[in-house]
Amino acid sequence: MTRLRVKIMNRAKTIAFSAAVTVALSACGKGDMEETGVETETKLSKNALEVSAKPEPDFDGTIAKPGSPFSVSYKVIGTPIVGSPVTVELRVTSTLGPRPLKVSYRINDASAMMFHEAQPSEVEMAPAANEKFIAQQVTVVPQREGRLYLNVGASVETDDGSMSSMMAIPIQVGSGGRDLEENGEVQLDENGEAIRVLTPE
Amino acid sequence: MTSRFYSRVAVFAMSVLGLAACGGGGSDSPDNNGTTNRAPTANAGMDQSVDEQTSITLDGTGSSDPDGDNLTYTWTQTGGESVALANGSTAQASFDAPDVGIGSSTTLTFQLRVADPSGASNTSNTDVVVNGVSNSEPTVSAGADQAVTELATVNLSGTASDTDIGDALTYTWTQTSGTGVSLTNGDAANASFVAPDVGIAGETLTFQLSVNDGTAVITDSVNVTVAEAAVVVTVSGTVFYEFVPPNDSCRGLNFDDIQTRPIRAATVQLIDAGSGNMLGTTVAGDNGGYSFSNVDGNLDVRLRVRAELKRTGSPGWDVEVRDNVDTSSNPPPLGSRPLYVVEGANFNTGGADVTRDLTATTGWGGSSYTGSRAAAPFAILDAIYSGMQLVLTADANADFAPMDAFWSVNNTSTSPPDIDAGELPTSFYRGDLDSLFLLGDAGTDTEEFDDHVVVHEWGHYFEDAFSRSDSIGGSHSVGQSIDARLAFGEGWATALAAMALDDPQYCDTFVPGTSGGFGIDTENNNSGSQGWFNEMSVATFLYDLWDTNPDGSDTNSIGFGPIFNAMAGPQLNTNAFTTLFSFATELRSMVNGAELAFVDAQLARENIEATSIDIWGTTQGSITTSPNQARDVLPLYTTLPTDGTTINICTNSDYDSGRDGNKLAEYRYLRFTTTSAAAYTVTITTTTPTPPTSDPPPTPPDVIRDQSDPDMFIYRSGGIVAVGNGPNENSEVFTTQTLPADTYVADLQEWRFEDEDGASSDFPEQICFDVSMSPL
Repeated sequence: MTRLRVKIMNRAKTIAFSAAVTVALSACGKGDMEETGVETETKLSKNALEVSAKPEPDFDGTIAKPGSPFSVSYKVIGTPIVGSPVTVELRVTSTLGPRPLKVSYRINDASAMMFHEAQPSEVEMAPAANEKFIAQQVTVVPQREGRLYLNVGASVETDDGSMSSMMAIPIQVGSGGRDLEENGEVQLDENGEAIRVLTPE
Repeated sequence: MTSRFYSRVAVFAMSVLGLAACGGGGSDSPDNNGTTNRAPTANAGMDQSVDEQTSITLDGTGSSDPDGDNLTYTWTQTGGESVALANGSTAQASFDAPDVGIGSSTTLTFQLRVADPSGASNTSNTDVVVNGVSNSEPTVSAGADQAVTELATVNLSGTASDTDIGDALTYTWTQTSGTGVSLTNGDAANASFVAPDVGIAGETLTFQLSVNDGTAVITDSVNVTVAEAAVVVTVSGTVFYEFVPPNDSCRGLNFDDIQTRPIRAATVQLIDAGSGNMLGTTVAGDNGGYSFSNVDGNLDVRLRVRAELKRTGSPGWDVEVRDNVDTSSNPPPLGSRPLYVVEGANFNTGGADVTRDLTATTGWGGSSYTGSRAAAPFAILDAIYSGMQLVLTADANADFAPMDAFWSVNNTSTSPPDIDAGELPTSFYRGDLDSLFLLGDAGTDTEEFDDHVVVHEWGHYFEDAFSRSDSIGGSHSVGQSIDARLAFGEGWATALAAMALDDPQYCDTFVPGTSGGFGIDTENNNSGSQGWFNEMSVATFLYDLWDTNPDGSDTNSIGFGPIFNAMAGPQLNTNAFTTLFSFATELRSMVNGAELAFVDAQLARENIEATSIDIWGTTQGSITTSPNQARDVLPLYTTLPTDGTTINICTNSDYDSGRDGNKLAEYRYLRFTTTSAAAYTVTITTTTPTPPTSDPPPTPPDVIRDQSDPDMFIYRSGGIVAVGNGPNENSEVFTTQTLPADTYVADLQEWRFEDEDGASSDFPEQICFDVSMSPL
């Protein structure tokens, strides 16, 4: 694989991506199709010229899969703490016009978080006449510290049937990290290379 | 000479005189004084009968000489078992009687010759009968111990010796332990047999050699260790993975219809279960078949399939599927994170060829994943392999640059991104890492069985590795009117997936076990307004060029070859941005006749004016998409004078309800040609008022959020050569480096349309700018 490769992959490649971008971002995001920047090679860097002056969008230039016709952006209000309700503001934008959207909420780990007693798990509504998005608030109560997730789904009925999408909204409670799911076991092979060994059932 | 003469005379005289006495050979002869010399008389003594192994004296003192001469004596043995004589030149010699064995005897004969000084001589013989009085046992050896393999012919070599002269030895071999065998020549010194078939533990056989000398029987034993023969076998079989197809209309995955598919071209290894050592490595065939020959029999082993495609030479490739998630404080580089493998249970190779299949299963437990999701990495790998196979139809020697696909059960769809933590914005391709990142969190979205999604992202890798893409990326969904560069890149990737998988139905399912998901029909684009700004128009155009299924104007196929050639050739170096115009223009130059007409018909169906098309879209007529009558869309490229002349050009966010900043009309394309090398100053001034709004200032108030922020990038054949993206309000002024004579393009945008924090609600949807470019 020594072929001299032509690496001209759009402007995305010229935009710096760094962990600092991630760290600097507050607990808000624009889901579904946010954009990851990428590291600078030898070309001029958009970020390099104004890194402190003008923040880059989260994922400007991500070469991403086609999205369903929704995007979800969110903002976590306040600092979540165990046992206290925390509110997440949502904006769900649809490219399908004023069709009613069904927005649903799921918590996969019941030991981590629960819905506030008044919180419905699903709502259906259409954008207001003068708006291009649906604004919603959802309230959850963290049950423990850690990086917890509220899954938000959106769906719409079209002539071709239902179309939907799903994203996870991270809610950082305290300083704990994410509970990772294990799939297989990490070992070293005979050459010392890390392998994740999966076993058939 | 004299003595020889006299001897002859003496012999002659004896023969004449017929002399015979107790001795023999005596003669007379004249001496030097003229007197006659008389011969001596030899006397070897009386015959004797003696015991074996005793010292015997031969006594010649009875010899005499009539002249009284001094005599010389010479004893020689003339018969019987040879013995060593002592004092053989004196009157009395001696020897040791040999060992003849009990009951036996042997006769030894000796001759004594006496001679006087004149050379006259005489001989006399005597016999010694040696009688055996005791037996000497023979010495016996059955040979050294041996180690042999089963069923081999084994020779037993015995030896024996006996000092008793008269003993005749007889040999007898007998087996004293072990599985019985049939001995050949068991009554001879050298016998043989065929080693028995033994088990893996082997066996020791013992044989005894008995030697009989007529009086005694002496024995010796030998051990023969028989080992199992070195059995080698062939281990072969097929490796599979389970694939879960989508439900109808892409509404979730159908776990009731799991398909078993071969793992194609992956690395298969045979592992010694005891030591963990790798015994062999091979590559599965396109049917998933593998084979290891010359494997030791009766060995505990297991199969390992690595989620990788490796091939050196032409064609060549290097694809690996790894786990990106590592939340440790110092995670290794992405390329060193764990490679997925699937391993089967241990099995014994036995004594004959063995067939062993292995299937990487889904881990689905009926309503959720309950087991190891082993199929996932191989489903991803196989989708990528499908893409590579399509490319090989156009370039059989394609050299695929190394790439990785990162997937994890923890890869969830969220923002902001953290690859180490598995927090991804979505599934995407990163050219700087030559890597795909794919979702796998069962609570939100999994991609492993959404093969169109995998190949779609691999299609972006193709652009990176074989062609070029000027796509600005970012959020996009079907039916949207988006930037022409983004539309082409995404349409290309979707079409490539449909071609590689030979299936026009793109499916993206979400939470497994639910009906979540959506689909794209690449064959029949029906999303949004058709045109060069719609990724579905691009996808359908490309797919219909390739597919052989007639529908509407799609009555032909040009195959993948011309498509590949246009992408890997002129599209790579086009002066324009990579859009449907640049591609279609170059493709049209590669086909003729009916194929050209076919291409034009497909373009026309997507509202592309074909016959006068150029890479700039110069003759592209008005488009019908709303809103606002598609303002600020055409011309696609506006000529930017390089003499300082000011032009006014507008952008708008009419198509960008989500404030993604990558939709139609948000970037305006400029083009200019320089005839000599020069540096330039570019000045951009916002001419649209951006009035103060009621929005609160940001916290912290780092940027004035209400004002326009024009940005511009200048490109030469896809590479950025100048950037003007400062934070100044309502203006941008920047200086280029020296630009060689060439044709350049630039894109101008209102940055606020993609500003993460969003422009205020009062920010105008359309922003216009004065733009000028002057040489320094």
